[in-house]
Amino acid sequence: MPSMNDKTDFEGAPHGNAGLCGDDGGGGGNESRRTFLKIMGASIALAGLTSCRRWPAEELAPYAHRPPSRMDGVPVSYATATEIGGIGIGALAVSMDGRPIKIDGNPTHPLSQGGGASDMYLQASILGLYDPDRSRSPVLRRDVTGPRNEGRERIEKSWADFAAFAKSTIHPDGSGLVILTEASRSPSVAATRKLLPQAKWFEYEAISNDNQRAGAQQVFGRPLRAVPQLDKAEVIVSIDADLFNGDPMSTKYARDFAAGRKLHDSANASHATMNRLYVLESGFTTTGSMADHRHAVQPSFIAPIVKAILASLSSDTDNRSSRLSVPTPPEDMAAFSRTLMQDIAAHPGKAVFVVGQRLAPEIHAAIAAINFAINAPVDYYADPEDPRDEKTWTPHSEQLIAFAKAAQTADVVLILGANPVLTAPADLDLANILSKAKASIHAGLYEDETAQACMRGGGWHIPMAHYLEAWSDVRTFDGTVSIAQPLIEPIFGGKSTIEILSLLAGKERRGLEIVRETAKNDYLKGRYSEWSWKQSLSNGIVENSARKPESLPGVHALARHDATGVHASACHDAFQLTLITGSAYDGRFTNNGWLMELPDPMTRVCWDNPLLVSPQTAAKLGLQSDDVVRIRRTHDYQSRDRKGATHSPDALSHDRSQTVAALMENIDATIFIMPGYPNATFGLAVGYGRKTLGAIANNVGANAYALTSTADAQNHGIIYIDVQKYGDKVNRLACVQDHHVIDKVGRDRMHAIVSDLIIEGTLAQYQQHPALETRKTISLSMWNEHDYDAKDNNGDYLNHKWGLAIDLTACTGCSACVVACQSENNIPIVGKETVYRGREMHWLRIDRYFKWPKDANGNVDETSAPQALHQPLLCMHCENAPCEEVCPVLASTHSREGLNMMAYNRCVGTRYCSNNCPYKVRRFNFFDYNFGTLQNLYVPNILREDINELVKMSKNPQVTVRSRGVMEKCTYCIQRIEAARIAIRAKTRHSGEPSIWPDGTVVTACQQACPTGAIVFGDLHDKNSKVAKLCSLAQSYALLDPELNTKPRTRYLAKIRNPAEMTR
Amino acid sequence: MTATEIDNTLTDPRFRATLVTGDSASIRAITEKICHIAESPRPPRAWYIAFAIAITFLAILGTMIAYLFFTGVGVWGMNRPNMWAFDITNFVFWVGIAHAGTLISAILFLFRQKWRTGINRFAEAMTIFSVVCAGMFPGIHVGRVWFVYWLFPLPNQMGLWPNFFSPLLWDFFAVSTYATVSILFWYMGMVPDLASFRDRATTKWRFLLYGILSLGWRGSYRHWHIYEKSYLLLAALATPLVLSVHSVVSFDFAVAQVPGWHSTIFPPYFVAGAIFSGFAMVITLAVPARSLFGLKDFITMRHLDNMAKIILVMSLMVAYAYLMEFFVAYYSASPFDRFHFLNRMFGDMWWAGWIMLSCNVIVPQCLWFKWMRQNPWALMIIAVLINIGMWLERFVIIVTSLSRDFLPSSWHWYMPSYVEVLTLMGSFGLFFTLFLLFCRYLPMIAMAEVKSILPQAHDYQSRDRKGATEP
Repeated sequence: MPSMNDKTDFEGAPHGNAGLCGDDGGGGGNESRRTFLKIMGASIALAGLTSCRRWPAEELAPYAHRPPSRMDGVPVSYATATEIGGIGIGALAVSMDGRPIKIDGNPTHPLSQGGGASDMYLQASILGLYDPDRSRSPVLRRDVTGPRNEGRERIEKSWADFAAFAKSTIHPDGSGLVILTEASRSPSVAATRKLLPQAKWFEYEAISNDNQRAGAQQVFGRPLRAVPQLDKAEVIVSIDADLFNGDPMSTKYARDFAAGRKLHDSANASHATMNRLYVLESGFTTTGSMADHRHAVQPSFIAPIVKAILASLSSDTDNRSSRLSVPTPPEDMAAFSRTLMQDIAAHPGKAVFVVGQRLAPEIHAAIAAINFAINAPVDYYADPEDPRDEKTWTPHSEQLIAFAKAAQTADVVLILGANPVLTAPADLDLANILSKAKASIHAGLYEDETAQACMRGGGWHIPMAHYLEAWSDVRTFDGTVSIAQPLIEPIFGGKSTIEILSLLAGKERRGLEIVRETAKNDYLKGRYSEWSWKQSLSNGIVENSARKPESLPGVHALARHDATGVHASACHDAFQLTLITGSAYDGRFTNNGWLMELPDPMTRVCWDNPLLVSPQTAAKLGLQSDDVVRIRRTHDYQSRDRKGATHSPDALSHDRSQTVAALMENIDATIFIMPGYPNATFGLAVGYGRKTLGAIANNVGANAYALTSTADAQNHGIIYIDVQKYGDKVNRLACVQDHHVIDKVGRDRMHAIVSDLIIEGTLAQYQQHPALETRKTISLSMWNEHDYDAKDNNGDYLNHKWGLAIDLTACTGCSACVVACQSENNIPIVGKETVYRGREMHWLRIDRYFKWPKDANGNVDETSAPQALHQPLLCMHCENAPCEEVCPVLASTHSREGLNMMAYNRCVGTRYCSNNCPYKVRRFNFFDYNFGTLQNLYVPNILREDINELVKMSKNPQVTVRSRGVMEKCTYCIQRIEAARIAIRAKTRHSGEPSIWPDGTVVTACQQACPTGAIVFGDLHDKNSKVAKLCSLAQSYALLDPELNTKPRTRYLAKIRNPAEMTR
Repeated sequence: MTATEIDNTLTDPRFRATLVTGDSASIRAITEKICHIAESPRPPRAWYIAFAIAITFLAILGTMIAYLFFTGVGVWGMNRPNMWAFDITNFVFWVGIAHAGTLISAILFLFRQKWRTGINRFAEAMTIFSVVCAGMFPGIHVGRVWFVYWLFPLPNQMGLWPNFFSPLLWDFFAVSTYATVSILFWYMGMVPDLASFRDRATTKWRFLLYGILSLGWRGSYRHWHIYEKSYLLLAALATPLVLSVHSVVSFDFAVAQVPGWHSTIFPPYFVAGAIFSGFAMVITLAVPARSLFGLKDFITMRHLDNMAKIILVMSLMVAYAYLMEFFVAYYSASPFDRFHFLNRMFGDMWWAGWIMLSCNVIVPQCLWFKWMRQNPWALMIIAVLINIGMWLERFVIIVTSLSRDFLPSSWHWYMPSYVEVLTLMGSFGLFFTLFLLFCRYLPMIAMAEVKSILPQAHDYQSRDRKGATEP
């Protein structure tokens, strides 16, 4: 990981003077080169004078001196960092010829912990850099007066114009300035903030852990950040938390969780241990699919259940965890909760409760108290970079309300990065407030809803720099600092937060200067040197910058927190809404094509945020998947129950609900029937329903924020809604798996086959019989099959034998691998219509199956809650590959190393291979997806508008970009294998290439991204390699191999759950 | 029309109706009647109407193919897993149709079935035109159509050859061989008749054109000797092709491992189906053609009756194959196969399965009744239904099998796009354009062959007709 040469700020940037490196070359040789150039320039000029000039005279600079750490065509990794919700995320960015092409987690960073682990957001962020819809220059919209008054005019301005505006409008000490930012724990931002001491500073994140911190404040008196140590827990109880998706910390959670579920030592199968996950949730998340025990309840039941758990603890505080009584409601979860409580009692100090971010502070407080009581492995961290003082700390929801108030009287309103007009509760009417502000500035990557609101009032929008374009520093959950280096000059000339703040303060400086100064004064204080700076850049983290977890105050938690905060005045009969964090996150990734086309791991729907509902509730309402419904917020809690009676608990005053009603929008969403959902509960992902953001985001889904209100806080964040079907409007959802209503014949078949496709067992079964239900193939071949194990005279293997193992026990379905594969292998996005038609291009997909319990007669009971199973599926690289046999032009062939290879330039596209592939992992380019926009796929090529040049920059030059009419599929990242081969051959050209490479020499993109280490690639000939060990385990099996004798190189490790014996 | 005009061998083996009826049963009348069709200044008005429709659809086909070539296979409705749909269905359908022609000309010729002479010429023409339609589809269905020649084993400097393991390559050889032999057979049989056209030509162009086409045929004994010998040889050559082409086409499926495709009964099953659909198509064409061009004396009720009987037999063979498919699926105990056949009849594409079964098995049972066989228009309706059923059979085999194969996660419905539907219709346009041009400009009935089966051609039968029917 070389560090960026910070002398030339953006070296290697395509827009920069990539080749013009004379400045830092120095030395005498340079002089002669310059002289040469002068002469050349003069001769060109002379030539121009003497003849009719046909070309403009230009000075040419030869690429004579290679700058350090720059090799043409050789990818270089740089450590950098980004930040989501105030959590710093360490990243490794691969740069190729001056442009970043791939992002992975930084192994040294506490979130990734040793691997390249990352989440889908980080993986996809590279595409956000090259988004053509990003804003390109400061924009001012102002009134135009004149004979043809056309209202307001959009004027593109320069940064100089903006600086002049800032100078004239903003007081240097920031008085009169009201600032709203995204959560940022950057030391540099904290330092820059001091430049504007009089500015009022507010912070808002729609998805934040502030409710948890508010809960901690209630219990411990300090708004500490709780970080559950899942690797130390034996019993994990998740209460409406989506640990593995949609949380900036999910990479760490998934890794820690999976650490307790690795059963890789078959020799000691009988002594194998696993952690146990209980999930109580109001939706169906990937966390729920990983659960050993899962119970789905309406959101309104969560508070009473938590209260009951707390009460059972409070009754006997001396014997903290030994004598827990059983909480009562609701009736059908008695067995669940009884088992849960006994398990917690049986694992003192090894059990932990984790709570969903959206749940109310009171619930977080209660859980903090419970965790304290059972001595749960939870670390608490202080947050000194928080702009809010610990004494006067208020959570984001209140910050936003305070901001709305302050903005009305402010001289200048500045919104930095955030998009509150979209994400704020609808009744706040922030768009109106901003458009009426005296002066307003929005800084962001897009001209989003907030920018438009500001500009409507005559305000400014200024483009921000993407994190790969700017210097910055971030702190992660434990305070570890990462310095973010830019990999490219700002493509659209955007500026970072710190640069904008210094500009506003009238002390404009470059980001690098600010960050260096912060390093000197803050995290590298006393040990700053050129060496330590470079070391920090190169490592991606600043050594020893992590903070110690806070020791909890000596107050008795339960004494301080008597659980009265958790009240149960909820209306369980009313329809309730669960907000989901999907692939758009809070809306900042909605214009990212990779994330929009990423099928949701649970619903497998992409390009939409359907309204999820249980089959029973849907049947009651007469709804089917794809029906468009109108969602109305029921402010007075009125709702129809089964008999049609209305309920109206008077938690909100009638007046207020009237005002709210005027502002709340009714939104239209599309129904998707989701088994396992709690009844009378609807789930809707946030961040969708955009109208004017960009080509990808516009008109995708429904805006769930329109249903939120500031009043939600008074009711534990529960949103009561009414859902009505109107008309016959249908929105055909793009679902990549069993989308259409499957008839009984098909459903029966699915029920029958799931247990063959995903071998599953419990830990007890595994201990008895590690092979579980896996079937081994006995291959009796009538011909001599290819010998992949051939050896030379020395007894060394002639060829590698690549193989891949996928641990279904560890796979959470988080889909980071899918995006990583897309990024690595230049997989195009194809658009909603095309996915609907069944033509998505993902080489790696994660199949999701449901497994319903059988009733007494052995019939599948589809009305009960199913278990969900995830199965990543990529090319199996069968040794007996059915696809190869049938290709008429030999475009699909087999390598000696066992790779099933695809020669794109030989493929004519008969598609026979796909027909004959039992795994259906082959993807066909029905159109020229890479050479035009998604909107004009059906237009003949010669008339098509070409793809944006910027999007081309995101392509990995080491992988062929496929044209129309060509079949493609997973290659086991053959480009990485070949790159490794070249490196090894270069290194060992005198000693001879070793027949076995060190394990881990080749890491596939999916393996690198996987936070749980569920995917392992390597050489099966290397008996000590991890993959060879995994593939030889008793529980490993090859999909469909017993039936078809395809001999796949990709093997699965059976899914093992660890349910407790249910207490009746 | 009396019963005596129909082959009544079964009712009274002592009698046989003549093959050419009415006043056409003379050598002169045959020449006059057949040549008249091509020589009349104007064809019947119905021909114009039919030709206008056909050429419109041909134009649509051209447009659709141009759109396809310039845009990509995505304009069709295919998806994953249904990577083949209308394209290969149409291919197999048209190849199937192509079977009747050669069967009639070659196999019935070898079996000395003299009644074949009335229908063999246009059945052969039908064969060639359907092979044209059939050959088009594998050509246009590939993703990179500009490289379709890579399917041919062309020697090249890279030493790259096609994959000789691939059934698609076998297809290429089988269909191209079949097309070559069929065209040779058809054209060679037509030479004496073309010479008649030449001899009767009244315009320079006709004289030149038919003169070139008739290859200098003078009708000498030597010509006839060589002609008869080579015709016999070609018939012997074509006969195994009738069986091989569709066997090879069936390998496209049988060799693959998709449940519903992977079956050893496919070759005979496909051949039977092909003959079945081919004869149905001959009837579909013969019934209107004989009334339109006044050919009832040549294509008599006896011809239709015979063809109906063949259809009935083939229908029973196809029914047997259907039954065997289900039995094998059950007996194999393979859950994938069992599910496939359950799904074929009761899954989400049940309608295709049941229409196929009704049209191919139930409807042809009407042909047990003599009065049905002797009603040309009823026959034609049955034949059209059989054609629909046989198209759907290929559709069911291809799409129903693909849409739900091994992994339920990959199941996906299939919906054709308008381009696909219009391309199918356009292929009929191509077929009928060619066929109508053939009717107009080439001898529709093999005059020379029909003459050879007249009683006059045989000395021992040269008594008058009445005498022949006496006991």
